Amino acid sequence: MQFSDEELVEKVLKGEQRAFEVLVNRWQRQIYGLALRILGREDDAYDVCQETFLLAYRNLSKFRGEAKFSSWLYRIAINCCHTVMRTRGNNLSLECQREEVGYEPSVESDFLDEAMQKAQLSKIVRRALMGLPAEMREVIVMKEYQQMKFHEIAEVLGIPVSTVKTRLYTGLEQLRQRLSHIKGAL
Amino acid sequence: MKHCDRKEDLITYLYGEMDAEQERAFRRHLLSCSSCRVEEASFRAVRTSLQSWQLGDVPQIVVPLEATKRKSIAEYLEEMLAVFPMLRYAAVSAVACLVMLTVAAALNTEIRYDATGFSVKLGLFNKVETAALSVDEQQVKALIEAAVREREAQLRQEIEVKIALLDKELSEKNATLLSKAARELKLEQRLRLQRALMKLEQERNYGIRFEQDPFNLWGGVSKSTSWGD
Ligand SMILES: [Zn+2]
Repeated sequence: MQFSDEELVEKVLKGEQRAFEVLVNRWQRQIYGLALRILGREDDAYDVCQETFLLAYRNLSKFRGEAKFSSWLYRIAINCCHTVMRTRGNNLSLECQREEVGYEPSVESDFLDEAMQKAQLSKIVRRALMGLPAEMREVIVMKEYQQMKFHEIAEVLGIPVSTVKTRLYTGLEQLRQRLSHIKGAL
Repeated sequence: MKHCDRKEDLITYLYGEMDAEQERAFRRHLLSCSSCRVEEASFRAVRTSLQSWQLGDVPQIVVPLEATKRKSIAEYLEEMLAVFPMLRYAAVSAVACLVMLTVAAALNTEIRYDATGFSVKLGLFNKVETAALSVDEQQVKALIEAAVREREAQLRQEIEVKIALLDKELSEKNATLLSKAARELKLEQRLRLQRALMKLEQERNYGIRFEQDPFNLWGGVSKSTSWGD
């Protein structure tokens, strides 16, 4: 039998620690994916993921069930991501600097087989996404990779739905510009 | 192409979050608005590109919940008793002794525990009867020591396994960090070279002199450094 997130939370609060492991296993891929695509670094993503579940465990009694458990968890994760971004400052990683200076090797699709082309495209997309302002990247990641509804994103970020849509629009617009010179990207 | 202010609707439509009525209406708008049509198509292409970044294997997240749990005194005691099972018997027998002594005092009994063993003198019957239970002290000691040793060995083994696991995790993490550092260093060196080249080029084109030596790529060594005495 599959317990719902909320049922599992109840169990943990009654002292069944194993129920929390079920929650971790259920959500770790989602949380890790969110952090990785927002922060762009695997080690940071791991740390954020671990910290998110620890904070969730310690504060579980404060989860009142007004929101979905996943939204609550995403909210913690986003806050952890913000902390990491603050400590790292606005310094772009070297990988991003390289993109800004324009050292990106040109992609000649004729010379690449399909798998390589795909890998190359994935890399380019990754860099383009990392080059966006964080507030736009967050919204795009939640919508495109976590398949969250507009109202969920609004709830997690604590902003109006219309702001979510505006950020998404601007983000997509910037991505379109960043990807427009890449053959095969659009 | 004329500007259109229905950006929010376009986004809602793009992600399929309109109700049927809104969707029909927006489809009609698309037919007449080339600006939205072009934008919608280009956004769909961006969305397709975004899907090329797929998540690979995700590491199993280890959440150290134990560290966050605060132990009660009862739990500590329970843990201690688990480590040294003989303590439990000691605790039980201490209580038993106390009861026995109380009863014995009431019955005017003489209990003696000395090198010769354990003897009880029952004064109740006014006649001396010695029951030598002869519990060998050495035997008890040996039993306790054996139990403690066994438990110690077991714990030691468990700890060793845990340490080995942690070591492995650490060395794996170190390896990825090292390769990452090497890559960033290489990138940085490339950037410096590229910048130096640009400076050289500028110098050639415009005759600009730079205070810094463009070949001094790694900052530390200057021309005046003497190599040996
Ligand atoms: Zn329009």
